[in-house]
Amino acid sequence: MLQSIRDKAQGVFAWVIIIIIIIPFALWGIQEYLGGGGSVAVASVAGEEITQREFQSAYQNQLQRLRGIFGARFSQFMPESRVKKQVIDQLVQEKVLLKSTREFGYRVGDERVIREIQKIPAFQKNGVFDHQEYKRKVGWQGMSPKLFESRIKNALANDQFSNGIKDSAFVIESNAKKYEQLMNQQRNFSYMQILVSSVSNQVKVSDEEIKQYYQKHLDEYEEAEKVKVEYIELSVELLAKGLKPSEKELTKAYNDQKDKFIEKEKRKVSHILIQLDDTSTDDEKKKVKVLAEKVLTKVKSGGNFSELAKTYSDDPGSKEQGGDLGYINRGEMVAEFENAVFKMIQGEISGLVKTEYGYHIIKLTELVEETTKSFESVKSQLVKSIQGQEAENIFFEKSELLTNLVFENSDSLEPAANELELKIQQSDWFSRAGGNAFSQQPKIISTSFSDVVFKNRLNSEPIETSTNKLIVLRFKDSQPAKNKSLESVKKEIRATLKLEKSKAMVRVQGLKLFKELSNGGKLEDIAKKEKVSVVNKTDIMRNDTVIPNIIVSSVFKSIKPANGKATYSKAILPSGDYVLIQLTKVSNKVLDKTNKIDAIEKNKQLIQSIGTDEIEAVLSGLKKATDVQIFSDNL
Amino acid sequence: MDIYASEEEQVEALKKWWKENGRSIIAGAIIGIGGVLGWKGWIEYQDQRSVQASSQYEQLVKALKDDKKDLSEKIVKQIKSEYKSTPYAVMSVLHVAKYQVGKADLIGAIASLKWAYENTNTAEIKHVTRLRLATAYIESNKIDEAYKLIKDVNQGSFTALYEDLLGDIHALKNEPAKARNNYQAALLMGTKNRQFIQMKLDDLGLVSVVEK
Repeated sequence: MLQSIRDKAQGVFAWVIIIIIIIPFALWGIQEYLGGGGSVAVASVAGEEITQREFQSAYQNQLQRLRGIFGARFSQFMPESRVKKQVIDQLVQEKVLLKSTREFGYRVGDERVIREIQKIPAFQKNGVFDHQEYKRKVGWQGMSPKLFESRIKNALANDQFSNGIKDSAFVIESNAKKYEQLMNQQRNFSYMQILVSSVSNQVKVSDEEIKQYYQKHLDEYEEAEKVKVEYIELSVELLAKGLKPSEKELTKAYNDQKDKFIEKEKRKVSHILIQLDDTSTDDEKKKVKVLAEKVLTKVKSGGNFSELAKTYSDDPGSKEQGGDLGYINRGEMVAEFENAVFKMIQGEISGLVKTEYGYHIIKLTELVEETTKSFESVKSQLVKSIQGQEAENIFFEKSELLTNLVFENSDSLEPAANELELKIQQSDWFSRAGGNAFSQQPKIISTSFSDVVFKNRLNSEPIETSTNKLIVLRFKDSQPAKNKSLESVKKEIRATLKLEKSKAMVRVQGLKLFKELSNGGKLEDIAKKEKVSVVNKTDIMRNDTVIPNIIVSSVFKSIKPANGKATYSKAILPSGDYVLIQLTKVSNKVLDKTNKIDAIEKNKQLIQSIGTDEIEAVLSGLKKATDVQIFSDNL
Repeated sequence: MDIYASEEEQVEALKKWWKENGRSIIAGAIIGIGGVLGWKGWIEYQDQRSVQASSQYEQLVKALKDDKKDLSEKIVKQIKSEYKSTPYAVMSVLHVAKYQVGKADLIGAIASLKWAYENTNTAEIKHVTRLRLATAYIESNKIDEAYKLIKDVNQGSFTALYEDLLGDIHALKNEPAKARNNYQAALLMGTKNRQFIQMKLDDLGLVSVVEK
């Protein structure tokens, strides 16, 4: 049969058929190449897919941003799944917006795109748009200029839509006024407090009640599972302590490092400069020299050097300091000056020294000879540095050995301890919440309760609790979670019950008094009867921070007094204290100029929040109207 | 394939087939390609008009920002007449309305917002224009008209904004219990205006007793 196919498959007709067959095969999957691959979809928005690659790049960007804001530990309070959800929601939102603005007919012309791109500082050289720079930088982002331009185009169209809504939002004057008025409202009120502490001595708690409470809340009085471990520690610090460098080693180190212990000779100088200008005539030069000689005579004949420097010196840098130049080293000054200085003895005053700047009169004010620190004085320093260096070498050798030994003898720490001359130590009891300084280290806790250590009772791997410190631990003993005895928590429960009962009592009492108030009782009378004082407050505003928030909030929720009739409200503080409040007056703060400016700013915020509410509602409406699918498995 | 005994016969058959069907195939191809090109051209033309409207729109926004009343009126007139089919017409008018509110021209603002409300065919923008129109009604003391406009609509994603406005209307109509329900409904939704709404709610004063 194959032969017959081969025979027939030669004519024109056969070729036509072959070509027809070839075409779909040849083009199959071509969009993979054109579209750049990464074709696993994480979401689909109205049939248009968001690829895993798009998602990954946005996700990585977001991680970087979060790390920038919260530091590397952000993952502790922000689980991966939440970040992923944020990112995918954002991408979907963008796609929905893009699709919608396109559909509505928002378009931006090429000219506008060009203008926008030229404005971007990254593409400019010396403040002017540079085409090469543009192509290069866009290339860095893995984009062609064409793709970049189309993205800018889309972004601008999106902006037109969302900013169009946000920026056209307005606030009517009556609302702005209402806002200002509410913000600046102030109220006068009085209140009295019935304290929980005032009734607590009337409250009795029986042993029976405590027992009942204990049994009902057994799970709250549980002592967590605990463990005790034994461990060996290999650290540079401990190793160093065990090292005793010999006298010979120390002497050698001293001699090797002698340079470090030499204090170089120091010379402190002052000078008076009589400046000589290169361009001046011979006549002028002569005059300068005469002046210099005159000053020198004054100095030599016992004149005060620093006073003379102040008067005659042409060196603006040192003149005011009486010519003082501080300590100088070789190589810092012009040769003639240096030569003179390093020949002088302490207190000596030079003759005229001529340099390119003019004539100097130099005084060596201080000379400290070169000294070398003695061996004895640096001995302890040497011991430490030798110990440190050697201990570090030993540490690295031994740490490898340690790793092998504890792995090969995973049932015991002894071989490693013997071989490496380490002491096996024991921890105190500790739970997953940690214990003392040793057992509160997170790495120690997690290792101690790990399957390897806790369940399989094997040696842990060496744990690096800090640099140059390794710990290997193994299970010693454990204590299961258990209930605390009634006796041990009795006191605690009694206090809890007492507080609860007191609060309940105060609440009943408070409500009774509030009823009295409602029926025409006077706040002052009630306070007197209850032997508490009344607190009077005037012109208190909403944002008051002195009076407990709950009281202020209750005051501002009260009906406004009218016709001179006060209104009453109540509040319960977190402590359980009961507050009865009498509101007597509502007024508005008179605004001065600074408040007025503040009001304009507040008005802007008001418009902004309305605009934001509007655009957010629009976006969420658009999203609801779009067929969105998220494939969580592919995230 | 056995019916074609030789190559000549095959060629012959093809030629014959082409003679019979060639014309209609070419005609079909021309109509097809022409249709596609025509459609593409139409889309391109639409895009072109949108781009023109877009640039006019940006000029308008700038003119309003610079407080150039005459220029802005001229531009908006042109956009409304020539580019009514683009979304820029409604968006332009929304900006004009804001400008008018700022100049205390409530009659003008209401007219603008009404035009925008009636001329948008996008559901979400309809909500926005409706809310803004109702707000403008309230400012010019046409409380009933504002109420009529928003009381029975499907609130979509705009619950917080509608309920806030309904709360204002009920408060103005001296129906504090209703206003309270509205404000509370608004606060249940996500809103950037939480502080203001909470203050309005508190100010209704419904949680205390009056002195006897």
